[in-house]
Amino acid sequence: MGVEILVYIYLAVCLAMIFFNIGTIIFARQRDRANEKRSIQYESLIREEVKRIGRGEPTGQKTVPYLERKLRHPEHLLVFIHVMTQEYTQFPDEIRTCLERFSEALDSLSPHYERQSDPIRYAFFLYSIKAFCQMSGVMPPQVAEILLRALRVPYTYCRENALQAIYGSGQPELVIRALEVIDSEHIAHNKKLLSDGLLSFRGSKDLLMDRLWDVFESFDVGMQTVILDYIRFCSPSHRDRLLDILTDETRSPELRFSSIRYFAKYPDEAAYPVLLEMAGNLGNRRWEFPAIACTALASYPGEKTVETLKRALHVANWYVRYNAAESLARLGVGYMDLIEVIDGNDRYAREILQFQLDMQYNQRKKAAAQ
Amino acid sequence: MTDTIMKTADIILKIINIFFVAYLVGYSTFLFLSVSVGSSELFKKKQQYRMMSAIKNDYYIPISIIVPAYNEEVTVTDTVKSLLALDYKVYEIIVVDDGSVDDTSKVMIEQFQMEPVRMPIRRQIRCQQEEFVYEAKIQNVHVSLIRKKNGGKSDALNMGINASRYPYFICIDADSVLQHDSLKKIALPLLENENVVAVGGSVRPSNGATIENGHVISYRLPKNLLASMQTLEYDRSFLASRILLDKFNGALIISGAFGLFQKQLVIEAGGYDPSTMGEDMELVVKLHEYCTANDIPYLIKYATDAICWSQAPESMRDLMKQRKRWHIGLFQSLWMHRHLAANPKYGPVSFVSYTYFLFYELLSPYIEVFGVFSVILAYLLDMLNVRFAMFFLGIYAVFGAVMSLTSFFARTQTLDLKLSFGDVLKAIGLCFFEVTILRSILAYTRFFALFGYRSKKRSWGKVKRKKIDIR
Repeated sequence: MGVEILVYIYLAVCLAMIFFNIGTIIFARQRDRANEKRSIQYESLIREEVKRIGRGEPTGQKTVPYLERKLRHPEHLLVFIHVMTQEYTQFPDEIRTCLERFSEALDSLSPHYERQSDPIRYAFFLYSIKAFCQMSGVMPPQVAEILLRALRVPYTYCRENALQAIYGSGQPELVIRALEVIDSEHIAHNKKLLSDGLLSFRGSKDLLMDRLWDVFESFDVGMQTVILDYIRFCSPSHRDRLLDILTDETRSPELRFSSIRYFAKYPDEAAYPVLLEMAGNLGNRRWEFPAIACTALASYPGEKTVETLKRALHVANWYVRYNAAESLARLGVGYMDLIEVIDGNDRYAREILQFQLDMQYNQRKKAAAQ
Repeated sequence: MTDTIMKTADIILKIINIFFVAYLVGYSTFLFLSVSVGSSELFKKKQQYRMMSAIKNDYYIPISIIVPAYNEEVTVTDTVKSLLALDYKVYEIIVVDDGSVDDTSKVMIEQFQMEPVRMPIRRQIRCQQEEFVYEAKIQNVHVSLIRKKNGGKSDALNMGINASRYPYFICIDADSVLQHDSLKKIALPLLENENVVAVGGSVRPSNGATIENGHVISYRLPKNLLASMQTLEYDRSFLASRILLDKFNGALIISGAFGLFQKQLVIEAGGYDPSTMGEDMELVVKLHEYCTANDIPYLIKYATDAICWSQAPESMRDLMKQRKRWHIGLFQSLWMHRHLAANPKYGPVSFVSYTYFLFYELLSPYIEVFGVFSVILAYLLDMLNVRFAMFFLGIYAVFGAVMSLTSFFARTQTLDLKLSFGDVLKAIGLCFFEVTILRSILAYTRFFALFGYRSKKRSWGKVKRKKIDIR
């Protein structure tokens, strides 16, 4: 009898799966059709509102309650954003006014979506905030609070969409507050996402960098590295502060690596001797110091650079040798100037240099052929 | 006397009966769970993209792509061309020619106008000596060709790791094509969680797909019926041994056709083992073991939407050769890491993943053959209800077929691949053949796979290649 039950269970599972397959296909088709209809409805609703704005009339009585009710459904919100974004390209001023008029309905959505147990829906709501704020050019304080709260959600995409909205607001203070939340509450958000994400900040980058320096010391090393990486991508005007970090041996190595990279991108007279010293002297330091300094020296042509890099070719660490050889090749140092290494007894130095010179030669040959 | 024999036979058959009921319940529960969890995961992922939960900015982690090649003159240049079309900024391509006896290196050098370089290779993992190195910079992507003495696929991969310059590497087969966004997608789990040390991509048979600049422009079930059945089989096993096991960090396989690894950790763990045929599985099992032994927090993830299109064998002979090789690799990996069996230190990796692979993959052909003999014995002793047995077999086949179909439809739907009505009918028809006939043939192949496997050491186990439909 037990085995018969098993057979019935198999049959039931098969039937359930067949229904599941058919159901998902029908659902997907129905949803696409419904969204097409919704798109037409929202387009006419928005166009009607645009006309009212043109005529100086107030919003239709039923519009706001209708939106309050409908936009609680993510599919409606998805279509609504799509239509609004399309209309915005044609009537930017009117759509901005529309958003002001609909603000009551949009504000009412926050408690609903914040309660969502599905993080995908909540992340989407945060995306919609970003879209609305970009169109309206305004980030009301209560919306900023929602975004800051979202940073604590243990779902990468909620945090990322919230951060994107914050960067899009163009408000340096809000960005600082967001970084403070992440830093003080040890929220695990990838450092690369943070430093690259800051590049999408829409306000004054100089103002943001000034504010970041103001609070720099209050952050832990991880966040400080994020800030330095961001500054490296943005501006050559922070040499003095970066030089202080570069020369301060009490600072974390991570910060000093970041400052070496800064001076590789923006060569500086004052940083030059420090880089020469770092590249030529391993001492008790971590190998990364001479390795990164050797790469940075490619931006500092000169006799001293060549001599230092040639010495670095004999260092035992692979990366130091590799970077020194690469920098020598990038500086276009001639074969005759390197003959002592090429004909020398240090096989490792010779091989790595020959490889880099071969690469440079091939590139030049290819460029000439083109 | 006869009575005693009959009673003993009855008891033995009852025990066998209980064993098989438990075995089948275990397998079908696993299959059902994997198909339902896997399908829901795929739909969730699709929903995530629809709902704009995607990292769209250019967050790039530098990646080295290693392409081990042995006698791949027909496909290797197409593979490299497809890699050059990837939508990713910072990556390099390293083709390792493992002493091919055809013109693999020659076609690479001529096609990409490569130039010789004297590249010093930092041997952090043991591998055979290189014979020459060529390089080229194409569309800002650095392409290297390293020709080395023959040492097998693992040895070629180890050479690629030694020669790579970036902190993460991807291994792909020389007959595979990556979808244009696959690097972005396979790297995403690294941004989501910093403990991720390896990510498996999703492999689909390229037979029947037309790919243009890394985009699938048309998709049909392959004309070749064997390849079609493998498509169904790939989808089912992808949902089972990939997505479900991924839920508890229990993946034991990242396909050699497309996987991403943290280079330093792989070097510390000793790289690919040249003595195994299942180097892809062995590495993943080794990473579990290494990280657990050294208290390294780690995650091995699956990127369900990072797609690699790979050729499925179109002849039964090639398919049997491939499966034989896979089965030997499975045996070697499980045997080499046998202390993972029922070891509480490894948690679900031991009790779920290892147990599943041991009983339902490695031992399944032997258990199945034993089952067939038991049925014959029961029939001879007149202890078999033939009608019920046939009915049960039929239901079980329908169950397997429905699971395969569900996996197939979930995958095609979530990848936005449009299926013709003819293909839907074909899939429905073929899924029964796949779970009955193909499965039996492959069980037979796997049953004999382990006989004389030692002599196949370092073999590449080649199957006949044809040009991939890339435009």
